[in-house]
Amino acid sequence: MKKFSKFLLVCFLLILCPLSVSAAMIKLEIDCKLNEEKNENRLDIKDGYWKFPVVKVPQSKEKEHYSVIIESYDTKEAKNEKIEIYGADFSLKSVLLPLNGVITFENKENFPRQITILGEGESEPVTVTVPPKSFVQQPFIAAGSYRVVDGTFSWNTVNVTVLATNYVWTLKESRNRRDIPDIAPGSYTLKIYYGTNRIYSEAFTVVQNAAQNFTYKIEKGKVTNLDALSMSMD
Amino acid sequence: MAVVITALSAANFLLFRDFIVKIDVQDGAKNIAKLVESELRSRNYSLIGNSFETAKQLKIEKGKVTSKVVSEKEYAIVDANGAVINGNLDVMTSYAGVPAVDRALKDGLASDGMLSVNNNLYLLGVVPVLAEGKIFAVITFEKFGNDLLSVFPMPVKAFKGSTSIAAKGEDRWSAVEGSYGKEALDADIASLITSGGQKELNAWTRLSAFAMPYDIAGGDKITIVTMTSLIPGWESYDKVLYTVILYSVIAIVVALFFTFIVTHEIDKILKKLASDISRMRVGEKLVLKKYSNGADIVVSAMNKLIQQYLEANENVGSITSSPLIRAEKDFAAKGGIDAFDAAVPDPFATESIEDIKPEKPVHHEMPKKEAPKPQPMPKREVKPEPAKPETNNVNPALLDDDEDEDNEKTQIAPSLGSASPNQANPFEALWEDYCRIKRNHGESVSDKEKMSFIGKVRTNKASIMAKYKCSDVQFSVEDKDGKPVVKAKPVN
Repeated sequence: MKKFSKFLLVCFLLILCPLSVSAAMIKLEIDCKLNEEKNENRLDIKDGYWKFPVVKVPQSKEKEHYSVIIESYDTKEAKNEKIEIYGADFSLKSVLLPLNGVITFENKENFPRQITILGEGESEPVTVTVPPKSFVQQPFIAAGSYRVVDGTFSWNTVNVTVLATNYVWTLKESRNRRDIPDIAPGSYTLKIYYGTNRIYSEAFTVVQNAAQNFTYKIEKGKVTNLDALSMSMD
Repeated sequence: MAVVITALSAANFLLFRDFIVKIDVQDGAKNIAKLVESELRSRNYSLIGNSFETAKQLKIEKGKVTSKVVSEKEYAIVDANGAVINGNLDVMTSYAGVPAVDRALKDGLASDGMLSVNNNLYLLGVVPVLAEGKIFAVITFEKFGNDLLSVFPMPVKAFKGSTSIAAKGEDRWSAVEGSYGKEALDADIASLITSGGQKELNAWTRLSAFAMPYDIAGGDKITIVTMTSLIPGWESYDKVLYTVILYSVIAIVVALFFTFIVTHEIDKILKKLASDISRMRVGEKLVLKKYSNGADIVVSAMNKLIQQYLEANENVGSITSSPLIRAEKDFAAKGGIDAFDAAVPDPFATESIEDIKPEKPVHHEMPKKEAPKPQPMPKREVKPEPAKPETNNVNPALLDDDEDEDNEKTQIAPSLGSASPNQANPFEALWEDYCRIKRNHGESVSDKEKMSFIGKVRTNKASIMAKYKCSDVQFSVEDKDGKPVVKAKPVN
């Protein structure tokens, strides 16, 4: 009778465990409220041109960009970014790219565009020519900061930050949820970026057959860990 | 003389250079650069004006332009994203990111600007337009090139960064490069592009530079370099210097040449005069018209002297007792040339020779002219002893003055030395006729007048013989309107 009772308990636990605990799994839940960008990266330049106020233009600022990365986590997901080149402008001004990520440069104009990519600390830039009405894909295989410059309009630039990891999760407005079930046991670091700037970092350890929940809230540039104390780098 | 001309040329050059430098104190080069700058600024302003004019014509419905747009210049109309929705210039499909366009679309500012695409530089004038509650922008373009710079009178170069994109007055830039050195000029221009200001190429040529307004956050720095010369076309210092030297050398050569010509001519005349004098016989005179360049003065004086010599000789009846000295003294005692001329009446009327008919036709170097009618022979003729002139026989009535000079010989006068001192003076009869006519009209005649009369007759005889290339002259006195007139007739 005693043996039978132990057997039933084990069977019950085996039935119940999958319902409550996954092996080596983390769950991310981030409540994000995206505000308008505080700074459009435009300067009031005293350049000597004539300037006459004519109309009042309603300002439409871009929303904030937040991304979550998990260092040391290797994912099979490919991460690509597309940058359109039209006029004297790039469609993105900054890109957070995972390791081995690819940026597709698409030229919308009728003339070829030459773009120069210079990595931080590198002396020789990479020059890429994008044919008219065409595109070129450029992989970034080394972590670091890169500056992409439009050869036609030298003030037209993109800042690219290539991370050491290949997992990047771009957050959207309101609630963002993501499960990572295949994460191997070990030590990891969760980082939250505002644009290409890191604003939050938290190390955690994944154990075998264990599940962990991470719940955060981002508001007004402040990151709050709802499971623990708030940490912010605003 | 060469040294003087060279010194004067050098002094003139230095004064000129000093003058030019002083003019430059008025900041001419700087002011001209400012003129160019304001003209370009004004051009940008006019582009904004054109955009306003275009904007006034716009009717936009559902993001499309529905009105007909007339613009003096090339234009484009873009939507809030910078995408082109209308226009007549196909440069780009979008002008997003162009600073002037961004100022219009994001700040509502009308402004000027610049755009460089495919090696073409455009000046822009952009104004914002609100339609249907959305923002649009009108862009007016003007290509920046040689055409734009052609409005300036001075040589101008435009640089995008350090690359030349337009120029005016290439020939003058080349001239400066040639004299100043291309590398030196490029170095100066590079310095001006970096720091602006002025550079002095030589005493009268300056470079000035200014940068067009440009977007400091990026974009191309357009630098305008103007060359100001106070002597346009002569920017080359070496050219001016070499030209002055060349002209000085030419002036020296010309001066030397004419000096040689003049001295050579004088030398020639004096040699001829000396030759004529050496061939003169006693009592002969020189023909005044034959000499020039000062020799005629000498001949005139000599003739006077000879005249006095002859008169003195007549008085003493001999030529052996220093007649020249006596004549000179007598001449001086009478008050010189003026007194002599006043004392002797001139019985020779101009027409007296014209009326003369030659006794024989001339058959050597005869001009083909009709001979004048013969005149009545004088009542009395006096034929002095013939001289032996070295002349050809010419009918004096058929010669004009120019021909005279070519053919006449120098000394033709009867030599007293060849005449017998005891022979009766051949002019005595002439003198008596002269006196008779004067007395008939109640005029008195003095002995002094006789001497002058005979002297004049002799002188004129010699002159006529020389002039008309005849061997003798016959004189006669006629009563004309109550006055005695001596008429001469050449005889061959």
